Amino acid sequence: MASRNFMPSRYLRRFPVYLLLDCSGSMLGEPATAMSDGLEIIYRLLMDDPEALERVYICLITFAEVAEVEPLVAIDDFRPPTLAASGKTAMGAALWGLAESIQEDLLPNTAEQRGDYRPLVFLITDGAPTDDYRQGLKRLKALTRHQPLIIALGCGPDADIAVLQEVTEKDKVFLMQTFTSQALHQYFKWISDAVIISSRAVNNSTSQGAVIPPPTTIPGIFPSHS
Amino acid sequence: MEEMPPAGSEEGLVQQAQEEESQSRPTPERLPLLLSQKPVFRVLDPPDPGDLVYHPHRKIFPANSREAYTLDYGWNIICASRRGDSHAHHGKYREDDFSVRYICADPQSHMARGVLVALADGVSSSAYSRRGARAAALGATEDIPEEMLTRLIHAVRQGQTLDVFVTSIFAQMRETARQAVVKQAEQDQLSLSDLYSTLLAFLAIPTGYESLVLASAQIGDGALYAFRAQEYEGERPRDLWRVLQKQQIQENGNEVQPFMYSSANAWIQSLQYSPHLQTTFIMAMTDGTADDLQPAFPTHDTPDPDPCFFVHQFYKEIARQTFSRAGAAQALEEFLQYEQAQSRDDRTVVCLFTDYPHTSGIHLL
Repeated sequence: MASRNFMPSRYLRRFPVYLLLDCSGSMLGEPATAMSDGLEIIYRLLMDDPEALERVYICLITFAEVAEVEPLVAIDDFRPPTLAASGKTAMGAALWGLAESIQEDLLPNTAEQRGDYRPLVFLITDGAPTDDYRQGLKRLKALTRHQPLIIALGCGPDADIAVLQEVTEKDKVFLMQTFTSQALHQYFKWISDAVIISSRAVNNSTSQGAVIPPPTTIPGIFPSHS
Repeated sequence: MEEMPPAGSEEGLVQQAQEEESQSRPTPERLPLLLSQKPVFRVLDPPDPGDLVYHPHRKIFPANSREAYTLDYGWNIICASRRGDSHAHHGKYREDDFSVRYICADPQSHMARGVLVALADGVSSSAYSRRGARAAALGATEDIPEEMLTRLIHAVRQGQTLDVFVTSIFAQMRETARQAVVKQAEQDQLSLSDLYSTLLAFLAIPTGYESLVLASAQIGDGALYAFRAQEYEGERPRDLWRVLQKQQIQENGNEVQPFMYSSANAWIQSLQYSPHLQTTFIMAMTDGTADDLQPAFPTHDTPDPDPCFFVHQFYKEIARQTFSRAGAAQALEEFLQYEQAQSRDDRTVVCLFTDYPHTSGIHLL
C-alpha cells in the first residue's frame, strides 16, 4: 500500500500564469462578457487536468483607469469574476503590477533548491495605453529573475500593435482584426491548452521548454508581423 | 502535556500536514462528490509497446537469485525504478534506468568485492530518451574493462593511493557511456538528441563493516547521500548525512544538462572521492525523488532549515518499510509508490547498506 504523507510539506513549486486584461471603456459590452466567459473556460479546463491542478497558479490583472492586481492563487481557489469595463487603458500600471507581483510573490531558484517556474503571461487589449507604459515595461524588463514569457493579443483595428511588440517579441504578438465573441472564446481555450502544455513541460525538466503552437489556427487571429 | 514543536519548524510542518491529512480524509458521504470533482491521473500503456521488454514500467535489482550477491563485510545493494504518474497519464515509457555491476564477483559464493552503479534519467523532450538512459547506464558499468576493476581491488587491498586511478576509471565510464549512446543511436537510426539523458555513477568498495571506498560523479539533477556510521540522540539530520552529489539546478529551476552535451572536464569536476568513508548507508536517486527531498525555504521562524531533514525522513521510512521485509528490492519498489503532490516523475533509488544497524538480516529477494 502506498505511503501517504510521511514526508509532507516540501515546497510545492508554482507555475504562475498571469492574465492581463484590458477592461477599458471600449471593451464594454460583448468584449467584456466574452472575456468573463473566457475566464470560466480557463478555470474549467485547468481544473480538469490533474497536472495543471497541482501546479498552476493564476493572477488576474485588469486595467482600465487603474490596474487591479488580484492575488496569485491556486487554480482551485480561483473564482472567475464578471468583468466590468469603463475608463481608460492603464497598461503601464498593469505591467508595473505584473513586475511587482513577480518580484514579491515568486520564490527564486537557487543552487540549493528549486523555486517557482518561469511565469507565463497573456495580455489582451483593444487599444493603446493611456498611461506611461514604458515605466511599467522598464520595471518588468529590469527583473533579475523569473523574466516572464509574454503572449499578447491585440483585439480589433485600434489595438496598438507597435506597443505590444515593445512588450514582447514580435512572434508572440497576435492580432484579432475583427473582434468576435466566438474568436475570443476560442482564444481563451487556446490559453488553457497553452498552460496545460507548459505545465507538463515544466514537470518534465526539459532544457528546451514547451513548444506552444500559435493561436493562428483560430479563424480571425493572425500573427502581427505577417 | 506534550510539547508542541515550534511553528515553522520541520517537525511542526510534518505534524501539521499529518493533522490536515486526517481532517481532509473524506467521509463516505462526501467521497463521491470529491471524486467527481477532482481529475485523476490515468494509467496508460504506450501506443508503441515494443520497447516494454527493455523498458518495463517497473524494474528492481536484484530481481532473482542470480543477481543477489553480498559484498565484503556484509554490504548489500537494492535498486528500484518505477514509471511516474505523469508518464503513465500520457502513456509514455519510464525514462529512468539504472545498471549495477558487481566487481570481482564469485558466482560460487555469491560474494563480490565491490559494485559499480549508474543511474540515468532520460530527458523528456528527447523522443527515445529511455533508450539513451539505458545505453548510458549500461555503458558506464558493463563496458569498463574487468582488468581495470580487478587492478583497483588489488590497489585497495594494498592500501595504495587511488586518486589518479579513480579519476581514470571515471573518465573511462563517461567515455564508454557516450560510446554506448552513440552506438544505440546508430543502431536505431536516430539522432543523438533523441537519446539525451542525465548520468550519475558511483563506485563502492567495502573496506570494513562501516567504511567504504566511495567515488561518484554526475551530470544532471540526481543526488547521492551517505549516512554517518553512528547516530546519537539529539543529533540533527545535517550532522548525520553527507551530500556527495547534489542536484545541478539551472537558472530556470527545471532545466537539466544532458550528459552527452557536457564536457569531459565537467564530469571530472563533479567527481567526489572518499578513500575511507565512514558510513552504513548510501542512497542514490534521480530527480523524481531528489526533488522531494530538497530543503525547506528559509522562513522567519526557521531561517536556517536543515538541508537534510527530508533526506532523513525518507531514510527512516525506507528502513522501516523495506529492510525488515522479505524481498527488500520489491519492497523498495512498492515504497516508491508513495503519494506526494507534484511528485509525478519517474522514481529511481539505489540503496547500499550494511546489515547493521538497520536490521538483523536482510532478505534481498
